[in-house]
Amino acid sequence: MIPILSFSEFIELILKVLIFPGLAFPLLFAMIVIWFERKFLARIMLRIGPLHVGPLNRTGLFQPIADFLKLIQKEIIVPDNAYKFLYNIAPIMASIVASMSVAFIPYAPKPDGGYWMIYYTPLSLLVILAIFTARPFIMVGAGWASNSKYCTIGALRAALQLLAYEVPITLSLASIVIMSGTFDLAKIVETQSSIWFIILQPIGFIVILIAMMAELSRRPFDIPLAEQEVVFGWPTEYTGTQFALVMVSEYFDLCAVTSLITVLFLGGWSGPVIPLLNDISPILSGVFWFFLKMAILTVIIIMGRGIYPRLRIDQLLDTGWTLLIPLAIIQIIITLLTAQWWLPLVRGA
Amino acid sequence: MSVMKLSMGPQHPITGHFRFILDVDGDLVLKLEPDIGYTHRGIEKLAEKRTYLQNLPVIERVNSYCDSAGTMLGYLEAIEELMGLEVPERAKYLRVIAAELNRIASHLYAACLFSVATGLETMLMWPINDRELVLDLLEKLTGQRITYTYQTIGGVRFDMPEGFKEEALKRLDYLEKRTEDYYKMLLWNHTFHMRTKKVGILKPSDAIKLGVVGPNLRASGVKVDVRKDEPYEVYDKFDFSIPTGKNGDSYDRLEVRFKEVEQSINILRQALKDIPKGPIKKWAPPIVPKGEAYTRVEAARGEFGYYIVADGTMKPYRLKMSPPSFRNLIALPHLCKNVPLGDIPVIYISLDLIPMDVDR
Amino acid sequence: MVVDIIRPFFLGFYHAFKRTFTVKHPFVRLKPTDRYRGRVVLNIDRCISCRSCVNVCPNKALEMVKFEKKLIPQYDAGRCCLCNLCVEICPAIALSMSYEVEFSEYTRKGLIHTPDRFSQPPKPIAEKTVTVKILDKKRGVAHK
Repeated sequence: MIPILSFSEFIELILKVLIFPGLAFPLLFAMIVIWFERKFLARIMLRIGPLHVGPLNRTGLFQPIADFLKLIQKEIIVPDNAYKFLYNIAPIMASIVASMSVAFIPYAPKPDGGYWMIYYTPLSLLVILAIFTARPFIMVGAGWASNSKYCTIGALRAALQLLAYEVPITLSLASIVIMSGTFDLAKIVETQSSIWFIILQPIGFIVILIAMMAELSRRPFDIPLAEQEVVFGWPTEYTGTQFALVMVSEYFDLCAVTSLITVLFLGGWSGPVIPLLNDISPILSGVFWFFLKMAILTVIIIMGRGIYPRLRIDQLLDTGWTLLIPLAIIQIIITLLTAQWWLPLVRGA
Repeated sequence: MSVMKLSMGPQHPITGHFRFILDVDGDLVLKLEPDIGYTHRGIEKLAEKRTYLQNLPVIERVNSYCDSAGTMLGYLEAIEELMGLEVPERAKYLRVIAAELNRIASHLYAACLFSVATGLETMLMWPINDRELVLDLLEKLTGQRITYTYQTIGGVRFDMPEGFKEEALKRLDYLEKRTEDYYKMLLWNHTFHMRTKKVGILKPSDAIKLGVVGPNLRASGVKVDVRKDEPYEVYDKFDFSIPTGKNGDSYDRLEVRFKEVEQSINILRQALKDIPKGPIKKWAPPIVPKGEAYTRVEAARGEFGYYIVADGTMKPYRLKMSPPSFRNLIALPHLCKNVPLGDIPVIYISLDLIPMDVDR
Repeated sequence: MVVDIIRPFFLGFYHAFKRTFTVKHPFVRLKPTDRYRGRVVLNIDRCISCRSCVNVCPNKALEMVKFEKKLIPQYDAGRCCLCNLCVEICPAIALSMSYEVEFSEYTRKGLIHTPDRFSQPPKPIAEKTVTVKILDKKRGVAHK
């Protein structure tokens, strides 16, 4: 039997799905981050960056919107030899899959119990992990379906890259689960109320940050997209709206990944209560801290593009297998050995 | 997976106006075949139809966006040798100043292309910004930014403007300090080491056998520099050293260029200090006497040879150029055997080839 | 090794707060130096119709045409390589180089400057011009 929602519950659901963790939030995040990335990298390079479009004088704030509007006017070109169904569906799949994981992340506690998230499940960490594994296969599918040489090489590189980062991510999540004793992201945040996991597990944090940068194909690890080598990798053949979807899906992914790391290591919404925001709504204070932590992580991930050259695919695999996996295992061992010290801190007396 | 033929360029983010035909097996390149000729302009033939003076703006366009002042010197040397013309001392110094400033600009450009090939775009912008200082100096001296037509038969066309010396010394000091940041950002960057060290190793014996010239040869450890071996203009009056590399890999080829910038700054300081007073140009007749001459100069990319056959008219009978990029191109197929696809841009850019130099 | 990995991070962050090098081009323009060689400008009154500029031009950018009962050179901006040879050879000092460099036209024909247009003085540059300068060591190079 379908449960009947009360009016306030219905409004809350609409708010969640359409505005805050749902539809508008990843889009807004993508827009701000694309603008910030272009402007910030430009400043590192001593350039100005986007300049003309937007409300504030010469900041180029609306440049991503202008780019998007330009892209949706373009013709969609499908290569003759492409496997058309997979080729057309891959960008849509990529953006849907990338934004799906946001639904399972708790952004703030509600004053009447429960959490501000779209769908609560006690196994949310597992669900997000499952969603993350889907993305490389969309890349491989799209690259193969394009039936172009550069796309094929890019897709193969994406598949190889999967081998490098998937295992370290899973292993460092394992030490988190050992410590908190649950797969529930909301519970994981609550166990960090006294001390954040970044302090208890610094090695795990570094491992997951590097592995997630590989997962996101950010600069030192953007091997499937390496423009100097394979033009643009697997999405080379995409044009117009499909290209826009592919690009936006990367930033949806960035949103999901920064949210996840914030929840796992940086204590989620925990932080001192801000009275001004708390007066408006008790959720806002938590959300503010969450956003601040997300922003710091985003800056760190974006900085990679301005300061590091790209690695080669064999060097990434080498780093993943000989550095990240041993480090993640060491972190698990340390976690197990030091259980008597962290247990009272985390689980509470 | 079977071997795949991959056509890289001429529309590709890194190859410029080259086309490489690659045999790719998965991510491994078995063989590279360069396909040149996309920027062929027939400059050698054009030169036969123009007088010696009219050839000046044509010939500097062989290597226009990087090293036109250094390239031109060889042509002028050849003509002056045929005429038996003695160029005034001050003109020789000014020629060297223009050529060395241009060498700095060229090497900075090479550095920024190199960092793009490895995927670091920040170091594209920093050297380009500082190259602007050098180009601005050249604009003050010659009136143009990349194609100067500054040196002419029998001297140079303009004297040093007022306040040039002080400004130049100030900017050279800045460039020397600024190189520190390049080292921190690029050359000492661990990720950059991973990408460039032990990549594209050119052994000294192979380099000599293939006829590689310029900084690429010196990076392999062979101490050859026309400026020292066969001094032209006034290079014998300066005190400078020839930097050489140890391993001959891509990293060394970039490091040698950075060290050469330091040596160029060194030469420029001496030249600006010692420059004598006097005329800057000697009148030269438009007709070159019958004869043949071969000269070689050290352009930024390496040894640039000119062979001129004059038949006693105002136009050359034949002008043959052997540009450095063409001679370095032969090393590329040699180096790109059984390397990962990701190393192709690094090796290609480390040789510092430019297509228009190759094609003429 | 760890230092080499972390150092660029701080260096990059430090540069993000430096003064930008590029200028906002259409609003601000680079000031050409005194010797800058742009479009050739003809002084019709001084021209003695000697053809020496036409003869010396490497690219055949100049061509003699009839203008007010006099043979006057006509200038093709699309062919000119700004080499200054014609200015140097002119016996009557009728030719000079100006700072104007923006030649773009919609048609190929529009690039041809008839004697009338050839003798026009150059257009003024934008109100705000800058030159490249070394500020102190901390702030680096900038246009000012």
